[in-house]
Amino acid sequence: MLEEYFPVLIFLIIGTGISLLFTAIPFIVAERKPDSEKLSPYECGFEAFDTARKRFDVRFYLVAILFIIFDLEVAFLFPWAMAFGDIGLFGFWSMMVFLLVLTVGFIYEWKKGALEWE
Amino acid sequence: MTMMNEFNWHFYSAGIAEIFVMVVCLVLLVAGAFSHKSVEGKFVRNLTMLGLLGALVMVVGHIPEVREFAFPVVEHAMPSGAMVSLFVNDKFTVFLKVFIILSAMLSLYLVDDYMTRKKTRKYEYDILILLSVLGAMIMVSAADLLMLYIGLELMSFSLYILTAFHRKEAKSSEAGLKYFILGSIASGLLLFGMSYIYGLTGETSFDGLQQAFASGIAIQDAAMMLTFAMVLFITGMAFKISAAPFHMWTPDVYEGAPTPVTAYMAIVPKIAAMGIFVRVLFEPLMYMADQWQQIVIALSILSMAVGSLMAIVQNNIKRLLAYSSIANIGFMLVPVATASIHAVDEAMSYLLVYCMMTLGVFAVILSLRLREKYVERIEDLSGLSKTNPSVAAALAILMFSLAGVPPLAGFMVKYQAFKVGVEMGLTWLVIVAVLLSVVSAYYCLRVVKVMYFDKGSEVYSPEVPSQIRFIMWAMVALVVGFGILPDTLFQIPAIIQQSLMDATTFNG
Repeated sequence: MLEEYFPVLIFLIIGTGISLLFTAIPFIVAERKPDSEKLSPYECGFEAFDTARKRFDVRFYLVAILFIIFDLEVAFLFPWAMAFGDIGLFGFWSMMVFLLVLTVGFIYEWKKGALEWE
Repeated sequence: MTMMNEFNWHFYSAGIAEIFVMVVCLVLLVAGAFSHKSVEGKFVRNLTMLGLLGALVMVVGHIPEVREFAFPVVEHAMPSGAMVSLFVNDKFTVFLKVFIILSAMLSLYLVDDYMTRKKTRKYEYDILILLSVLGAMIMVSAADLLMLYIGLELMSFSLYILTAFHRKEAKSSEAGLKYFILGSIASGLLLFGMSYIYGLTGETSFDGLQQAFASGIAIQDAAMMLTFAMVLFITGMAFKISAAPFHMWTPDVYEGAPTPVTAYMAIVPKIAAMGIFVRVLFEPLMYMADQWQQIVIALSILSMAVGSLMAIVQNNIKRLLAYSSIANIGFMLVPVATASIHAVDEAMSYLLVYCMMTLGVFAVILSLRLREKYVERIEDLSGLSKTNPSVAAALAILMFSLAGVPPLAGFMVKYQAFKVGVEMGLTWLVIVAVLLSVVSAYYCLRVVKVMYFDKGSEVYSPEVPSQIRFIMWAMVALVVGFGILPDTLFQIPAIIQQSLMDATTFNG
């Protein structure tokens, strides 16, 4: 049983070895001449506009969460549609119940104003 | 695995109470959003109570003589084409569900006064409680690892939100986040264990697992891996019942959550998790008892020790109750640790009485206010016997019961749990348990001492809301009543134990 995982172990060992090696080589052979331009942060060739720890509106987060829910719903719908021929009426109604539950959530968030930006 | 292609109500009727609760949740969510702000609280509360009552009637109205299954799946692997179900109903689940629904109803009565005073009354609270009740009901009725997981997650997610319900208070949101992160890790471990169990046996249903372990094939081939899987699984469950060493979240979450939520959290999830824990140990893992017995003994000793010793140094009464719950879980695990199915009723009656005592204590905490602020420190209880003698008497009785003083129910269940431990040959464990229960008596009696012997000048807000007073005295009455008439207390768990045993002999 455990022997079957032996290739995985070898893979792990080689993988760890190579990544450690590649991290170590620059320390030994690479030339290092730091100056102030090289050490300053930049994004896409520009100087950084702002700090990375800037606060942003919690509404972005809400929108992202709401998006994920309906995105996942679609992810469930595709296999259901593909298998529709085999699962019959029962499969159809199962998905309808699932969509109903999601719709209730959608009505709730709409009524509560989660979809309004202002 | 494919689902059944044709619909037949007969396959779902055993799960009618759960379906009903789910429909009520959905209807209330929409109705609450559309109703006017001024009425939504009362309106949703009444409908929630009606929904719970309806579920209670459905559960009690049909007590199955033999086990009933629902939500079938057709397993391709089984040559006979035998039906495997996700959901089971027997006397054991009926007992736990009645217990869960009643506790939820009583804990809803505790909320009103608190939330009105704190001005955080929202109708979503009731729906979240209802959803977690649904999760708990699904969980105790699970006949399959996946159903167990879904029920557990539904219950836990509602509880994470409820813990952070006072989101503008730093403590509440901190507790919610901690609970969420640690709870997710526990769920992850549980799922990891389940995946190993499935990988090694090819089964997720409890019956299938029991047969796989009974035949011994799975055990011989990969005994070590299977033990590993079981340890992960039990770790996840121990997290949910807050048994040491997986108890770290408990004190912080108990302290940070709004007090009515803490009251709910100390009861309903414990019932559900303990119930399904016992079922999993004695049904699918029955033939693995040699392996899990040691784990449960270790959990039991650690919980008793950590709970009893850490409770001594607590100043916050909610933290004290958190550690007391850890210690009591340890005592509850003593009969389970015997690995004998004859000891299940002792664990269940302990659970029943523990929940009564906890609910009573929380009713007392919610009825005490100093300068219009809720009392949380133990020193604040000083002089309570002078300013509010009836509440002090109630708390004293409940604390004596928690400490295990003879004529009360707390003593009776402890005595039975320890007695069955000795009978099943775990004398040394019971000696440890008795010694640690002496330690746990100290922190219970300290509360009584502070109330009756310490001088306090503060005057408590006099009026106690009638709902809270009712729950407080009802729990005191039950604790005293069951202490005097312990036979009635042990009858019900004996019946449910029989139902578990029937199932085991039937399959074995």
